[in-house]
Amino acid sequence: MTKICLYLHMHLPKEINGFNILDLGHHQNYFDDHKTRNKVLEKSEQIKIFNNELLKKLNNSFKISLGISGTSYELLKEYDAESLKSIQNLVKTGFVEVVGETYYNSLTSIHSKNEFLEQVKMHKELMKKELHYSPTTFKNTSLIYTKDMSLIVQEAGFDTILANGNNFNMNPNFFYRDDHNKILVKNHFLTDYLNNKIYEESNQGLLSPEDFLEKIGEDQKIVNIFIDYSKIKNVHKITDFLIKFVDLALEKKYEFITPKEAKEEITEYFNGEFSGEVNNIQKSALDKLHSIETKIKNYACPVLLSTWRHLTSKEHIDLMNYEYLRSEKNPYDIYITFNNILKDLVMRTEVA
Amino acid sequence: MSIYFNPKKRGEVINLKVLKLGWEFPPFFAGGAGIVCNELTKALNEKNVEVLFVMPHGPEKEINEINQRNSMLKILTTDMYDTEKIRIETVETLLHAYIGWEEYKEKYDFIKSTKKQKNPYGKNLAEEIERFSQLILKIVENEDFDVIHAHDWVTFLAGINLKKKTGKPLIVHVHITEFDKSGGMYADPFIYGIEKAGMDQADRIIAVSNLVKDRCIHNYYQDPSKIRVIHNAATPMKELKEEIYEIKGNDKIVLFAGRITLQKGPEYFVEAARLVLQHRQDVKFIVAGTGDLLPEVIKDVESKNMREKFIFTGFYTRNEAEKIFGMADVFVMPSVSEPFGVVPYEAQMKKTPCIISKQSGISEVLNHALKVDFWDTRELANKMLGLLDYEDLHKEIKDKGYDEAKNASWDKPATKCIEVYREVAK
Repeated sequence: MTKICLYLHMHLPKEINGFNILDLGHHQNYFDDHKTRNKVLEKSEQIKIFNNELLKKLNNSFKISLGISGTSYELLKEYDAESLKSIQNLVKTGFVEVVGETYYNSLTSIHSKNEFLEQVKMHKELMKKELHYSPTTFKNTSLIYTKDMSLIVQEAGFDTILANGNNFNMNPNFFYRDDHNKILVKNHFLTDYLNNKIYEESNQGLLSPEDFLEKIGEDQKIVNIFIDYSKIKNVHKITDFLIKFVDLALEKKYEFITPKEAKEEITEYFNGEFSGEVNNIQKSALDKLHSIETKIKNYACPVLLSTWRHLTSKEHIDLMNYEYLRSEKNPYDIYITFNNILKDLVMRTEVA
Repeated sequence: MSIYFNPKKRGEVINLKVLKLGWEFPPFFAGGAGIVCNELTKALNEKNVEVLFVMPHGPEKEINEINQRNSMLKILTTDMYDTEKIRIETVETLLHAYIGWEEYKEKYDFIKSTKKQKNPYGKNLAEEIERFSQLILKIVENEDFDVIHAHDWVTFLAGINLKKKTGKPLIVHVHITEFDKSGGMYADPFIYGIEKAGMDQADRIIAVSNLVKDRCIHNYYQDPSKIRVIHNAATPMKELKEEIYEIKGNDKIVLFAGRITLQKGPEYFVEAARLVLQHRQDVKFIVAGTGDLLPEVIKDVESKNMREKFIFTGFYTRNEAEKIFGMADVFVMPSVSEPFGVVPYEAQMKKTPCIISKQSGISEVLNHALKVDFWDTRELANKMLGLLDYEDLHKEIKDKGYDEAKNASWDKPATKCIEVYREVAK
């Protein structure tokens, strides 16, 4: 019978403020705290409801894996400690595998190996300290996977990676491994289905739990479905769907496992790198961000370093996607703001 | 009615004959109506639409004078269109697109002062509009056509009269409204009257942007269902030659080009320049063009102690425009109210990144340009500096903008025009 691996992920970035170059050196706050707070509260309410429903359901035959970025952990702690508690409660049951990642949901694995390792370690320590859990499964930002990254992750104490296999025509329902880690590949079809249909407000075109289970199939090795907390629009609908689906799957003898339990059955070798695609201004912004890394680190001011690290959150780069050219937030404007902030940041290291 | 058939074009049959009341290519490098008429007619012709083009034609003497003043400039004459599907009739008049009372009076007085030739023209703008409309009626008396397509209010009266006489459907093409000329504040009552009558009588109104469509609805009380928005496209230009410009030196150049009038927002350009200069000194600002606000703008620059940083070119020709755009690093169009504003396309063609006001029609279609509220001079300065400071951004917008302008062909607006013709043709 097919094994189902459910992975829930949560990341909330700090929202960037506009930054006019004319304000250079005037000690502006780069982040819009008010907007960040509102976004966090909007999501945290749903997270609580979702987690509390999940809590009732978890047991030895229904286990899940869960990842929460360091940034989201900090923000929830600051703005809605209760929703954080709902996560802690889940982990306490013992039926949740906590998954490691970069602290800031950054693209550092591509741009700075040192910083990548540091952010991975930071996150690991946070999970140990706050959730009393030492993750052995790693999920990189955007499911980026490279051989180099896999090695670093192994050295940091992990043995399993969640990855993206869509670009290489790989069957996602197999067990994989490379020279360093065991690898589980996201099932794009089913994950995207959940993203596009269940997360919509309306009920149109929604599959029944029976149909969804049928799409998973009975004779697959493993089906990895990744759910993004931050995309949940109608929390009651998704919890309702999920609980019915879990009941039905258990009744039909499907097995729910977490990534680390998928150990014994490795069969295929994973070959294929996925480093995400960026346009010219995104590449330029990432280059500039990392061109000042040494300068920031040499200055050795914890506040400045933390600020810089918050800027590594992938969401800031995502906003420079040309898809948004027709929208209110113009990617070129974001690029200018981002570069202005970097300029100001460097200036702060120069004025003692 | 004639039927044209061109096998090269997927066997498309277009049996439409359009009477176009339009404008020749403007002798002065200003204003879009003439360019639009010219490009649109060429594109319609490519699509096998038969066009009878009636255009105003100034007195020979005046035209010769303009030609002498600038050898690079040629006024289009009928032989420019060497095709059987376009016929041109000219009407001798002192009118031109965007004309106002004072401008007309100046022209009239000039002609009067020469005294050498007979002066058949109307004593003022209103009289000339009436005379022009009567002349057109006479010219097309024996012509056959399916739709009347009138550009700019100056031709609207002729359009209305033609519709009355022939019963053919009237389409008015609104390139600008009187309100835009005053930055949205007021309109000349006589001109407003003709504009509104034209729109009221029209079977369809073509607006060059949603901005203009909104004006037609809110200031002229038009039914939205009869308005079609057809954005302008880009005019092909000569490929740019790399040249070295002396005034540039090692400085960066930020350019304002267009009429120096309230509508174009030159004062916001000057204030943004002041803010830019606080940040970096190696920048020069060119203000190209002339207009009623020019003395004020110069005074403003002097009072802000920026005389050495500014270059005023005054009136410029199309040939000079090529050079000015060629040397500029950034082109800025801070218009307070710009119905469309085709100049950014020309800048893009010249590989000059643009900053345009969100209060312009072209901002509805342009992707690879920076956009700013005209009044937000701090943000305008921020964006000027963004393009000057960040080379990667400058290069990206330069390259992407060039492609964007190259791809904005007149084929699209022409296709949309044909759709409108078909909606109303009987």
